[in-house]
Order: sequence, then C-alpha cells, then structure tokens
Amino acid sequence: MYIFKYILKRIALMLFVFFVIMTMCFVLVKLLPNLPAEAFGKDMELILKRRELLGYDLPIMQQYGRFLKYAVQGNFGYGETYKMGSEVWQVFVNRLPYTMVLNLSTIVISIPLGLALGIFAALKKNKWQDHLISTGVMVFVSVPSFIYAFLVQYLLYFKLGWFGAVSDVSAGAWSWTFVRSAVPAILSMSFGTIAGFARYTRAELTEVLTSDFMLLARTKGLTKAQATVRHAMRNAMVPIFPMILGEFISIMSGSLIIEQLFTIPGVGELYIGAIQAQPAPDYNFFMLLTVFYTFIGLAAGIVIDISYGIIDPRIRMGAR
Amino acid sequence: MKSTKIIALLLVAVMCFTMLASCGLFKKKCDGHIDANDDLKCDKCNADFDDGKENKPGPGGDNTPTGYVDDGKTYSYRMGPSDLPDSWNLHTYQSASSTYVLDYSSDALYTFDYNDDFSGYVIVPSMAKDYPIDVTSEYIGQYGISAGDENKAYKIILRDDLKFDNGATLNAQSFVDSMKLLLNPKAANFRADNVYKSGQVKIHNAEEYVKQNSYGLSEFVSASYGDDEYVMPADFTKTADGILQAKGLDIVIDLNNGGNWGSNGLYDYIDAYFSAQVTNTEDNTVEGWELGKYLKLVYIDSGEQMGWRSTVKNAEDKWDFYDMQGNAIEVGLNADKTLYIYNDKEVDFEYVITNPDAAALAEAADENGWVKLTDATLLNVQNLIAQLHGAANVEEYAASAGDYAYIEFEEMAFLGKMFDELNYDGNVGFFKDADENAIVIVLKNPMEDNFYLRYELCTSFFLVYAPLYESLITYENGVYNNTYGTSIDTYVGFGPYKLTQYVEGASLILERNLNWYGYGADAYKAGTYQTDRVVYTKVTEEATRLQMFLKGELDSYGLQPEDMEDYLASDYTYFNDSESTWYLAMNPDFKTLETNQALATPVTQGNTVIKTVLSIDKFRQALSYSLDRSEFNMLLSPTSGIAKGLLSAFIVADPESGLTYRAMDEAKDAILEFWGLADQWGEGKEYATRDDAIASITGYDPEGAKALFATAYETAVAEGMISADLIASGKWEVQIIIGKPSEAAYYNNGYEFLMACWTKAVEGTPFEGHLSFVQSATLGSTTFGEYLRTGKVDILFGVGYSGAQFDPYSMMDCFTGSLQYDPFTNKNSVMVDIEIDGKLLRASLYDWVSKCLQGDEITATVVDAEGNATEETVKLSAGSSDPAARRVKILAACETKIMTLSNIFPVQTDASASLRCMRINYKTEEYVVGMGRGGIQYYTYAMDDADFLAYAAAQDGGILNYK
Repeated sequence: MYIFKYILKRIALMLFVFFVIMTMCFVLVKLLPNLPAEAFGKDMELILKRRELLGYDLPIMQQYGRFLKYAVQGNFGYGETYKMGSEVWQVFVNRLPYTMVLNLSTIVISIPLGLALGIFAALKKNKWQDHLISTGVMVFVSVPSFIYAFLVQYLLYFKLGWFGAVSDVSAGAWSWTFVRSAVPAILSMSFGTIAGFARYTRAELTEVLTSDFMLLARTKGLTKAQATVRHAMRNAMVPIFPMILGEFISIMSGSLIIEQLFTIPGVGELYIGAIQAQPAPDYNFFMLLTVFYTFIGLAAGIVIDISYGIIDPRIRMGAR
Repeated sequence: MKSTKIIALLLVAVMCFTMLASCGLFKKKCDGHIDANDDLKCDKCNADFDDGKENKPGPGGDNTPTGYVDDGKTYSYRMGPSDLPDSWNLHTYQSASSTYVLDYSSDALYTFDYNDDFSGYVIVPSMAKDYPIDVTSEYIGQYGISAGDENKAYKIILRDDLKFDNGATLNAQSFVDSMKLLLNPKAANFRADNVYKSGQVKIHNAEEYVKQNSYGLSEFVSASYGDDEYVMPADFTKTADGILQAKGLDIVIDLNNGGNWGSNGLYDYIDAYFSAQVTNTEDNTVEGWELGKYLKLVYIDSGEQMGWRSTVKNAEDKWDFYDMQGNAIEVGLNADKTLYIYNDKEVDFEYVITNPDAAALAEAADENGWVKLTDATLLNVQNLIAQLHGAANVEEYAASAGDYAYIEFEEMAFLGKMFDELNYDGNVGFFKDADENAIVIVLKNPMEDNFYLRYELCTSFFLVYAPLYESLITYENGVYNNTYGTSIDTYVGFGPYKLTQYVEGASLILERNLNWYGYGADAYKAGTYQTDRVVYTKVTEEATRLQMFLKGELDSYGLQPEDMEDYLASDYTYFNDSESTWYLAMNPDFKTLETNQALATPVTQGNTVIKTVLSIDKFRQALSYSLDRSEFNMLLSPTSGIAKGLLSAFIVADPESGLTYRAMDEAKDAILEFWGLADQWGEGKEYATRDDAIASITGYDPEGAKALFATAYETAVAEGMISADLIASGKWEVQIIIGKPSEAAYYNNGYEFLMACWTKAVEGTPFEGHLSFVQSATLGSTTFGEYLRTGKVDILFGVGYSGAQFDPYSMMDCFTGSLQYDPFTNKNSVMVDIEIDGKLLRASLYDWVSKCLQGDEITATVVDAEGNATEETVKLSAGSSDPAARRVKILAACETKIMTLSNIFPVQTDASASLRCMRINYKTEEYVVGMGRGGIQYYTYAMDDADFLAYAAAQDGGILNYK
C-alpha cells in the first residue's frame, strides 16, 4: 500500500517538476532575441508577417498557452528554421528507431561483457588479471568515446575494410543491414559502457565478497561459486541493477558525436541542430525534444527508485 | 568411367567460364582509363561505351526512342557533404544544401553552356524554345504599360515536350500556377520577394499581390537612384493628419531599415556616427563605448579583453560620456536599465539619445520603428543625414550639396501604403499567353533583353507541381504550412535527375529522369549526362571523407589546409577561385585614433599609448608591405593566392563577351599602378609585359617596409605624435587593436601571425620594441565591420565582399556606398581623373562609383593638360546599357584610387582546392567562368561504379594513390 501511495506521490511531483521545467524552457527560449527581420536580406515584411502568423509577437504566456494546447494533442508544429516545413513530431519519430537500435545493441553487448569482466576482476582481486582489467577499464572510462570512434573507423574501415565508413540506412533502422553497418559505432559506444559496468560490478562485488555473510555461507558448506552466485551477486546487484535500468532508459537518447561520425540519422543531432539553426533557433524542435527528454529523465528517476524495492524487498519505499 | 569424369569436368569448366564471362570478370581492364588528364583513351573502353546500347522509352514513357542511350553500366557521382538538405521547396528553402536536390532535379528557362570552342559560356534556351520576345506594345494600357514603353513585357515560348518527373505535362499554365502559389498572400513565402525585390527581374504587381490587405512599404527610389525618381519636398502632398505623401503614398522612414542604403537603418548610422565613449574620470581610462539605441557597452578589461553587455548601467557622477569627437555628453538616469561593468561596479544610468533630431524620430516611431513623415520629422531626417555628411544641419549641407541635401533621404525612405485586395488574373505581370504555350512576363521596370535579363531567367522560376503542392498545404490556427519538398513523396522535380531515395540526415540519391526533355531524341547532346545517379552521403568529418575518397567511394574531395602538403602537387588537384578577395582594413582616422589613444590602457605598464601613427599612410603601407602574404596564406588558407587587386580574377566585367575584369589591360594597369610597377614594363624595361610585371608581385617587401616605417616615424615625430620626452623615456607603444570576428582558427592564428610578422618587421627601425597588439573579443561574424567603422578596432583582416560574379560595378559600390567598407574617406572629396573619349574628366570617387557605374548620369569636369579643372563639363553614365569599355575604364581607375588611399589592402584570393576522382574526366581542364569544368552535364567516366570499386580494392592496401 505504501508503495502505491509513494508511486502516486512521485508521479504527481514528477508532473509538477515537468511542468515547471517545460515552462522555464519555453520562456527562456522565447526570451532569446529573434534575428532582426532585415538581417535576412529579404523582404522583412514577409518575415514579419510570417512571425505574426506564428504568434511570435504575442505575449510569451499567451504563446505558451498556444503551445500547450497543441502539445497535448501531440502536435508540435512544423520546422521553421530547422528542417523547414517538416512535421516536427514525424522527424523525431523517424529518427528515434536508429538511436534505439544503436543504443540497444550497445547495451546488449555491454551488459554481459561488463558484468563478466567485473565479476572476473573481483574474483581475481589483486591478481594480474584484475590489474589488467582494471587498467583497461581506466583507459576506456577516461578516454571519450569519439576518440575510440575515430580509431575504430580507421582500423575497421580504412585499414581492414570490414565495414563501411558510414552506416547503411537504406533498409531502415530495424534491419540487419543497418545493425551490421553500425557495428563500428556500436563498438565505439560499447567500450565506455563495458568499462563502466565492469568497474562498478568489480567494486560492489569485491565489497560483498569480503562480507561476513559470505564467510557464513562458505562455513555452511556452499562452494565458492555457489556462495558467489546465490549471495554475493544478489547483494551486489542492488546498486548495479538500477544502473543497468538507467542504461536502458537512455536507449532513446542519442549520441551526437557517434551518430554524426557514422552518419546514423538518430536524434542526437536534433537538439543541437535546433538550437544552432540559422538564422534563429527552431522553437518547435527545441520544445519537443525538451519535453520528451525531460519526461524520460523524470520517469527514469521514478522507475529506478522503485526498482530498488523490487530487487531488494528489504528496501521499503514510502514506508514510515 | 574415366572419360565420363573428364567430360563432366569439362562441362563444369565451360559452364563456370560462361558464368564468369557473363559476369564480366574476365573483361580486360585498361590502365589508361585512369589517366589524370585524358578522356577515355582506350579503343576498347570506347567500344565498351558503345556496346549494348539500348533505346530507352522516350520522355513520358511512350515509345519514342530517347536521344540518350544507356550503356548498361551505372555511373554514380558520389559526394559526401557534411550536411544534407532538410527542405528543397523552391518557395521557401533557406539552406544552401537545398541545392543538392534542386540543382539536379530542376531546370530553367535558360541555361549556361560552353561556347563553341569551350573557352567561355553562352546562355542558351533550356525549357524555353527561344530567347525572350519583346511584346510590350501588345499590352499598352494593361499591367501599367503606357504607349511608348519598351522592354517591359516579354513573351517566352516554352518547349512542347516538357514534363514533370512524374510524367505529368509541364506547360505555361504550370508556370503560372507556381507563381500564384509563390505569391500566395497567406503563405508569406520566404522567396516570394525574389520576383519583386531581391532579383533584378521585378514582376509587375507581384508585391502588391503578396501584400494585399496589409500596410506595406516599398522603396521610394530604386537602387539605381534614377534622377527622375526623386521628388522635391515642395511637391509632396499632405494628408489631413499632416502625413507627407509622394506619388500618392505615405513617406515613411524605417529606423531599422535603410532601404537602398542597405539593411542598416538610420539608427545604425546614428549609432555609428554618434556613439559615445565611456570613460572613468578617476583614472581617465576607457571603459568602453555606449552604442546608441542598443544600449550596449563595449568594455576593456585591464587592456586585455574586450567584450560587451547588452544591458545598460546607470550613471554616477564619476562617469563621463564622450562622443567620438571627444565632446562631453550629458546623460540622465533610467531606473529600469541596469548595466554591469567588468569590475562589478554598478551605477544607475539613463540612456539618452543625445542628438535631438534622432530623439525626435525615436519619439515619433511606432512599434515597428516606422515614422510616417510630417514637416517636422522630415526636417529631423534631413538634418541627421546632413550631420552624417559633417554639416550641422540641412541648410549647411545644402550649401555644398544643393537641392540634393533635401532629397537624399529618399534613397533610404519608403513609400507606405495599404495594399488593396488584388486578383492575380489580369493584374500580376506573369501569365500564360492566350495563343500558345508561352508565358508573358511584365516587368515593373524596363529591362533590355541582354545578358542580365537572360541571366535572371536562368533560375527555375519557382516551378512546383501544383496538384501535389496544394494538397500539402495546411492551416493550423491560421498558420500556413506546406511540407512540399521535404521527402520523396512530397516533391516532384523537372530536371535531368529525379529524387529516388532520401533518408533524412543520412543520404539521398537522384537518378536519371527520363521524363526530362533533355534526353529526348531532338534535344539530347551526345556525350553529355553520362552520370546515371547522383549520390549524397552525409559525412561530417573531413578525415572520414578523405578515407572514403581514397577507397574510391566518393568522387570529389575538398582539400583542407592540412592536406596540402600531401596533395598540393598532385595531378588530381584542381584550384577554384571565387568572387571574393580578402583584405586588410585599417582605421586611418586621426580623430578617432587620437581619442582612443588618450583613453587606451597600455599593454606594458607605464607606457604611453600612441595610436595616431596609424593615420600616416606610410605607416599603413609599411604594415601591408611587411606582411608576407605567401606565408600568411600557407598558414591560414593554403589554397588562396596572393590578392593583388580588390576584385578577384573570377569577376566578369563584360558578361556579354564573358571577359573577366582581371584579364583586361585597364585592370592590369590598376594593379601595376598600385604596386608601383606601372612604368617598369615594356620594351627594354625590367618586365617585358604587363603579365610579367604582375607575376612578379608578391606583396612582400620587408626592406621597403622598413624604409616606410622610418619615414612614418619621422612624420610622427615632426607632427608631434611622438614627443621628444617620450622618445627620451622610451616608454611608448604603438598599440594596434586587431579585430576578431569569430573564434575560427583563421582569426586566432592570423592574429598570432600578424603580431609576429609586424614585430619582426620593425626590427632595425625606430618602432622596434614599440609595437603592441591587442586582440579584440569576438565581434560577431555579421557585425565586426561596425567595430572598424566606429573606430573600436584599428585593423581587421579577412574582410571581404563576395558581390556578384557578373557585376563588379555594383560590387565596387561597397567601398563608396552605404556598406562603408572604407568608412573614413569622404568619397565626395576624393577626386578621380579618367580619360574618356579623348577628354580627361574629373568627378568625385562617389560619383564615379556609386552613381555613374550604377547607371546614373553624372556631371564631370573636363581637366586640361596641366591638370586644372576647366569650365567645361560632360554628362555621362556608365550603366549596364553603356559601353563596356567605358565601364571597365572607370572601374579600374576607381579601384586604383581606393587602393592608393591605403586604408584597404588586398591580401588573399578566396580559393579552394579539390581532388578530382581518377575515374572522372572534366570537359575542360581550365576553369571556365559560368561553366566551371563542365559540371555533371559534361563529366565522363573512365570506369563504372563496380569496376572502379574493384580497381580501388586491388590497389595496395585498397587505397588509391592521389599523391
């Protein structure tokens, strides 16, 4: 019962925060100065007329009301300065699958490898295997993924010729053609994630393995493997699982540099593109992306919090 | 049994051979295919080209054989730009990348083609059947055409075999439908003004139609400033409200838009001329400049950084404000404006327009910044313009300028009116001819059927497939939108290629459009359009692009500075000039420099800052001569050449003949005159020809520069710019603020280069150890010019003006007209003598460039043999209808004069370099103006896609060697 009340409360708070963030973003972006109409070098009257039709001269809160009215209907308008004339929502929806496939593939590779390396390193603590893995982990955690990306591209494409320089999107996102062509991108994104999982898993598991209850488990007659899997892993997973969940939630967020480098038409560049659009930021794209990612981020927070209680029933959310 | 096995094996071998042969695996390849400079060299290859030809269905899918014959192979022209188009709606597109689709999928009434010997260009009919026919006389009494008018209405007969790429018929009605949609008043299409404002072809009533039911402004006088377009104030009428009218329309000043003076409004000019300096009276240091209406403050922080804030501070008594002339300005307080200065001091300050005329106009302006002129505000405007000319008021200005003082404002004024509802049919001058498949274009202003008219008609004329276009229009909450040209399904083209694949943000493919008339039996030109497909793949990184090119996956690669070491000498490297030239622009204005000098913070503590030496032309020349342009280019832009004149070699001075300006003797003489070689060429002289002399110019003369520095020093001392006390103390520095328009490496590296170069240049001169440099904060890529104009930076480099390739005459106006590329020279007082028709004529630089070359008649004074002005005057003009030779002569003389003023120095040509794919042959090795090296129309391929990829794969490491 507590948990339901807790969830409802969190959802209500989330909606409130969501509304506040959305309002702030809308107001702030609208406060940015419009490029003077005459700076386009075109007939400024046409530009002013268009702006008037779009409601740019209305009071900001009135514009916000107009935005909310359409946004709740799923209508985020059309691109004005970025992807002009294109339906904003449609562009976003068309791009989302590429990002999702890219990130999903990365996670599918990263989780087992990361956990395995982490577990192995923990079990071989302070041995050469642990040092080797830890060193590799530090390298991959420290170096930004776009550095690997260049190296991966150079090696796998330019030198070995195993993959194309850019992804093949001719068959769409949910196709083997795309996944295969995106392997260099997936690898580039995976290194950091694998390293992150391995480091975290090793740290958690190392701590758990030295716990008293592990000694108890061994004295009860469990083998080291049994004790590790049944007791150590379960306890270590309490902080690790939300991290994995967080990675899944980030499936829908793009990686600007990786997507750009491998020409993957994902959502990563939409945000930057909307803000950097010339001659003025594209409010419609900006707001859709802001709304979407704010919502995802807030929802993820709730899901992760709730997941603690599910993984470890001793953690009672909302209990007094 | 054994024989059976042998027979079976033989059969298998024969079958395998047959299969492999049919796959072309045994086809002999020819190395000659990939020769850098030859066309298909091998007979075998040519035979392959001719083999297997198959007549495709004709345009429209009928059984008429096409002129184009498919050889069964696929030739793709593959490019990897960093950005792909989002939208390619001809009515609204704003991004340059839109042309990736439009260039190939659209066509025009006329087009550029090579001349007979491939040495130049001609404009030939494309969608049109023939050249325009003047039908003005047929429409007298209609569309604003009066008896006696000429060159106002043209009929253009269209080909009968035009089709959209979906097979639908394309005829005169399609053009008219498209024009109606372009001018749709509800749409306010971004490119609608191309047919009444931006382009030279201005269609009668186009503006009136698109702006119907709204109050709109049109220019008072046209950009050509025709004498008959001005109206004397005495002829103005007045409404009951006291609003002045001319030509039956309200006279309006837009404080944010300068009309024919440029996009800068009157306020910007006021800001530029009357901006105030902010000084701290405690230590008398410059805190910055307060920039008029924008309420900005430019500030210097410890002499090292400069920036600005957009909100304004208040004023305590300790702050004084000075105008650019050093006069104190009184300011008041305004509580709702707050300004923060770098040191976190906060003071209240009210922004006040100190100029009473400007203040009166600000008071009278509506929310758009529009002022409908009355008698009083007219006088304010006239006074302000007089003050921009240095006079106290319009009466004083009139003493020197005559009646022009009272009407000059009309160049930046507008005529305002309520645009009435208007039907397209019968009113807008773009309609279908009643009798044949032709369009009739009625122009607002007459235009001869010469190069310029046809050049303007080399556009696609906003043709859209109306049925689809109309189906995509939506109105939501009164807002018009149209998704035309955002995907394959929302676009229908009409050019040689058809969009067949588009993955937004990733790639697009255009394939041969057999519905295009150009592939038809009677239109196809043999040997053209070998390219079957045009493929664009988005590649954001240069490194990736180069890798793809070297693996044979792209067909062109634009070389970067870091590539030049490897590919500069490659046979595959091609250099391309552009219209731009990059200059070094300096502030020579003594007053501004003196004011800034008094308030400047020295770079070396204890030094006294000297800035006024920049006003000495020898000093500025020395800076120019000491710049090693070759090294400068190698560091910043290795593809650039040394610019020797203001106009690039790419500019065409006589578009009818295609002759470039720099190829003309007058233009060569301008360069020789400026660089001091005018009398050093000819028989028995150092250089045999003009070209030899020009080739010797490097722009770098360190010894000459040292001599100039020494001369400048003597002048500076003689004129008291550097006092004896200072010289004795040695504590002085000539401080030069170098502007930085953006954070680009070009500007940062360029600053470092200039600083090192000039520091070294003064070694051994009295300036040694006395030059200091300050790099400005980022000034903004569109606003940096204003900082030089207002004296807030001393030098800008990388300044350029692209202008128009076919119109250097209007381009030159950037130095003398409203764009103020040389803002410190009074172009009305600088006189230029030019010999025309046997007489030496004298007129001001402004008159020659901003009037005469623009087609306005000027009155020039005849000068006698001794160089004295006589009583005799000559009226002449040099517009597009006047003799080209006269125009060139004036242009060259004015270019020389502007350069010798020593405020602007040519430094770099704007050039790029690219690698040609080894399988592609260009039509001409030399770049031909208007045609380049042939373009997609003339590219030929030595190998098809598959063969070339296989060839590349077979190379060492699978990488092609272009070095």
